[in-house]
Amino acid sequence: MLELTTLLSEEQKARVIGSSVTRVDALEKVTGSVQYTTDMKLPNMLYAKVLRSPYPHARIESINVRHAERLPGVKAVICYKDAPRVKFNSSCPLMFDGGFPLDQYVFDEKVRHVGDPVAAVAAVDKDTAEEALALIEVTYKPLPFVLDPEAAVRSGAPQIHDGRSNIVSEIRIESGDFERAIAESEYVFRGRYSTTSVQHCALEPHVCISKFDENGKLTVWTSTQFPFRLRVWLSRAIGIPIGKVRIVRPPVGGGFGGKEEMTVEPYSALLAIKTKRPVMLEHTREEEFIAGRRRHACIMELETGIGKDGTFKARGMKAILQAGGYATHAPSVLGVGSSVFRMMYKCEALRYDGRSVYTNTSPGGAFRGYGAPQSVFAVERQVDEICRELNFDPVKFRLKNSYTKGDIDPVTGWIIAAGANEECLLKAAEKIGWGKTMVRKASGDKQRGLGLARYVYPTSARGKWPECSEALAIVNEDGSVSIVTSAVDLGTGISTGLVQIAAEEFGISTDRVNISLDSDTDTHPFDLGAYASRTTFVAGGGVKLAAADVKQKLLLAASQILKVDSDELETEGGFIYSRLRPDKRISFGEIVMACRYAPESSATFTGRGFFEPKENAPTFGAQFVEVEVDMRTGQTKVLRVVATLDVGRAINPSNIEGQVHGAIQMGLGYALTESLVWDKTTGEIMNQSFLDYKIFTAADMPKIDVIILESYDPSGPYGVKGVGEQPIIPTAAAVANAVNDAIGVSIRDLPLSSEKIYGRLRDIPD
Amino acid sequence: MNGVRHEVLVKPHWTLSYVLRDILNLTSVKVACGTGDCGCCTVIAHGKAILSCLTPAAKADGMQIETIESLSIEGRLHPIQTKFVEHGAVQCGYCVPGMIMNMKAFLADNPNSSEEELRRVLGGNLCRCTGYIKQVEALLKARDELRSSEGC
Amino acid sequence: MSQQLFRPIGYHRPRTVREAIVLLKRSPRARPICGGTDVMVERDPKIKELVDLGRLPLDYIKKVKGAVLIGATATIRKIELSPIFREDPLRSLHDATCDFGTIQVRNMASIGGNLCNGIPSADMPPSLVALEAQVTVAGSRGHRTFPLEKLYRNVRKLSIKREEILTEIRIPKQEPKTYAAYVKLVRSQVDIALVSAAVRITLSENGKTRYPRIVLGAVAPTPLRAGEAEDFLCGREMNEVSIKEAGERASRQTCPISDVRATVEYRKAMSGVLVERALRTAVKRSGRAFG
Repeated sequence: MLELTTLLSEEQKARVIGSSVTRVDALEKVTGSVQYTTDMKLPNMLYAKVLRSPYPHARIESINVRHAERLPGVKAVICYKDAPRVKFNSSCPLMFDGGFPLDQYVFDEKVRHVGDPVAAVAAVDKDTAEEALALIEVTYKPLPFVLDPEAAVRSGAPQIHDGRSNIVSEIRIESGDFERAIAESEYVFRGRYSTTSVQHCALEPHVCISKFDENGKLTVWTSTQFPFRLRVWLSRAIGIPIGKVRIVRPPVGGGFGGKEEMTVEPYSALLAIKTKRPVMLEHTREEEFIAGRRRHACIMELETGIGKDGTFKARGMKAILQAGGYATHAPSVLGVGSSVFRMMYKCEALRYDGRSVYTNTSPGGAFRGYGAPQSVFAVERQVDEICRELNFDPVKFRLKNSYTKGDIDPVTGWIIAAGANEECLLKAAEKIGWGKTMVRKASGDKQRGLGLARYVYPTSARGKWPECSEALAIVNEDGSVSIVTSAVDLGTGISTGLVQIAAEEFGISTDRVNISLDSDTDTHPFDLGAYASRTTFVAGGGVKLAAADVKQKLLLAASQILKVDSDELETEGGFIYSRLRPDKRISFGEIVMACRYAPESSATFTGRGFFEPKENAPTFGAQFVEVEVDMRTGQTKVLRVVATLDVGRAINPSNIEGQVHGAIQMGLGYALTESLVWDKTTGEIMNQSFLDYKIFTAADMPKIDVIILESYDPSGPYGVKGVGEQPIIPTAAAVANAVNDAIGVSIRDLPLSSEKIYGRLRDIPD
Repeated sequence: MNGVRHEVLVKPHWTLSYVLRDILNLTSVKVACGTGDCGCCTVIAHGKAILSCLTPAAKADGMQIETIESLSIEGRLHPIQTKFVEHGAVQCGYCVPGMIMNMKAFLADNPNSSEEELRRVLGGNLCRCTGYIKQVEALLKARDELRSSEGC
Repeated sequence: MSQQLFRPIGYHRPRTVREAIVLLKRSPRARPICGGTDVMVERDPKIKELVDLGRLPLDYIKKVKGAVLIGATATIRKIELSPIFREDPLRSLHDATCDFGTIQVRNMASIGGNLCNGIPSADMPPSLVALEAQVTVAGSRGHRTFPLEKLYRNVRKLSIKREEILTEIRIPKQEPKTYAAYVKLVRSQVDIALVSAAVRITLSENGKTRYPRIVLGAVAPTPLRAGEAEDFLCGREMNEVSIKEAGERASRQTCPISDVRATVEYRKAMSGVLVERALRTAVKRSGRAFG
């Protein structure tokens, strides 16, 4: 059920923006004709496979690839001896001067997690590639390993990267006098909260095809979230100049942050260079679980002081983030986690002490929410406990203490220009029937409960990282418009949203706007990628400006052709006409035809838009969850979720609803059933398939009500803010709060598996 | 395959999904797990939805198999396809062909299924983008349309 | 080298049971396959010949003089849809099949395959053992029939020869007023059994229980008859007290393992709960008021 509440004024209403137009890519997807990277086949193509370490920590003493090389059908085998010794960070950082440890090589002489690449082969078919892997002889010298991040920072822990401690990054923030504020607080709450590692499980795995041609040009077709960033770092990692690297991005079968990484590309590229043939490398599902990146597990200790008046006097968090064998995104995930912690509630005395830590587990990476789900889990769980203990109303307490429109972020100094924090909470509460008599005990062995959680989250990385996007808008001879942008649609619907923005700007219908479903760094203008919920905000800004730019050109040309003052001109339905003399009119197409093919003084109509947001528009939202717990087994059924989110402006309400539904599917799994489990003796992940890594199916999903609020933020096109990550952020906390309500036991660590709930009900230690 | 006869030489360890994708180039059939858990590789064999990633290629000898290409006959879409488009049930699209084939087979045999039954059957197709909500909505509408066109 | 990879060199599709047995006997590395839902997931490198039983004339469900005969290659879906198992006393078979994997898996998987994989979490053995099912096994010396229970020696270890194949399952005619149920413990709605329990009770005129059978899955290397719980229930009235006691006794007999899915302690505790719930369902099916 979808509701939309707008806080927009009449003037801000739009024609095409705000309508749930059909997705531009839906038809080719329902007919199965869309081609993902996994579906591509180039002539002469080889298939690659990666040999991975069976040890969590070891030195490679020797590698013998000769038997593999000699297997008929094998065209190349590479290992550390063949790869350039160039350090990189697979998150392709935007800061080139530090902040992100460059701790990866294509192949190193040391392996740091089970699954760490050791060698790669390219062969004429998948069978041969598999057989060749089995022929590579590697001798390892196993080293002591450490899986637990707290153990990894104790003295005596194995050093995972030579010459440095196991601490990847640290963040310390202090404001006000924390110790004094705690001492003066009426109530002090302390608690330890922890979240688990979960995997994106995008159905299309990491995959790419590399081709190296006679001109020394490397083309890589890859399922990626950030083609331009990838290009820079791939160029570095394998030693080919940037201008000779072309990244083509076909339609992507799901990303969620997992493809905001350079994973398969260096291997396939090096093999393509060596064999002079195209090489495809596709992860198996097992490889996705062991090497496809994951959400960083996090241990958080909160120390919180509350005053008699029910406001926060002191807020402190100590966090330890499990980075895994390589840093990748860890420093910035920690950063976002700390910012979100800070922004959740108003408080002058703050302390944040966080570190991200190397462990001999697969590396973490970007994952929808990027540190916020972890922080919000801890914060909102504690708020739930505080409200229970002190008998505060959970909704009122949150309203009283959160930042909202008009407030100033104490650290950045930004004014929160717009925000519907209060409305989000109140509307969700109303929808689920908060405060009305709840049947807590259902039937027999089952008990029901209600829980809630809210969030704050930025839109885009503005303020932390560079943010910009460039787009072109080209008017065709029939008056239709082609949008050229490198914005990446991972299935999120951004292609459709950008079409709507262009259509709105031009005053034409969406079926007159073309957008291609893939992008190419050789031919498409610059965009940073699909992450940080930035695409509609930043790429949309670029498209809007490009459309406005070319519309200006059309108006000028029309003025000349019609011999009318441009002040008199209006645009509607693809026509430009004089307000005073409506018979003076010309269509976009006629203008283009006349000008493109004019014997003299010809012109083309290509608009360029470059958008750099001036602010980072914070978003707000809340989720209320109703659960039913089987008290004898601990099994939890989620009955209902009400989600509210302040999106600034809904370009396509149905698409937003779809994003919320999908995010909740992930959030519920995070709360209840999903967790990567490592074997403590071997360092291997024990659940490497969907059999034992349980994601929610259609049979598990609850009823979901979505309420979209529009609070128009002027920093983005048409007032939009980010939407892609937000709805996953509060879910796990809301579920855990609901379980607490149902069973009277507060569980502070994810996931709330049936067995865990069963055990906690009976005080059985884990 | 979709009404057309093919003759393929296969190895004993090959799967039907390998034959469909890599040899016959029917790339609408996706392999997303290879262990029979996700349903992306679902095709219809003699009216029943099966997992092509677990079906030995040799076992397909003599089978009549339908993939999603067979649904759009002369440009007309199957009601499940139109409803998926209309109801916003498609995001990244990777799960869609397998899902539509599974549900097409089920609805053909069960025109009067309840929402709950439908959801359980849909449990055989994993999706990470949509949360299944709009897909269930679309399938219920498709069920209704199929039912009325059957004249039940 | 290829010992690590699944690379059988032959794939056979016999049309008679005799042919199948000959093929299996001929090569020590030959294995039967039917639906493929176990063999093609496991991809055991030791297999060199695959003998596909799918063409054998063993795809049937029929009632013969009150007994029900199921051919070994009948699919789980076929059993799920069969009206025979929608009615008492055999409803536990519908219970066991309707949540067996996903619908695609049920369309492919054979009952013979599920009975012969020897995996403790298999859904079909417990309810069949609870109904006193017998199996017919064919080998080079002919065929023999014995209780299904006797098929299992250990995890993935059956009591039959490698070249013998299961051809038929026979569920004997049950006493009047017999009710059966099967329940399993799962982590989410589509899941393998963490623990499963199948029960069968016959209620006599005076409300006492006769011929109780309680069989647990996934809590021992083979399907576990909870004999002590059965003995306890025999001759007793079914009520909350006796059901709880039966559950506890059954739980005490289990010897589960800890794995990534569940711990020993949880499985042990849950086996009691499942036995209770299965018994309650069986009683509910009898239509009798519950004391």
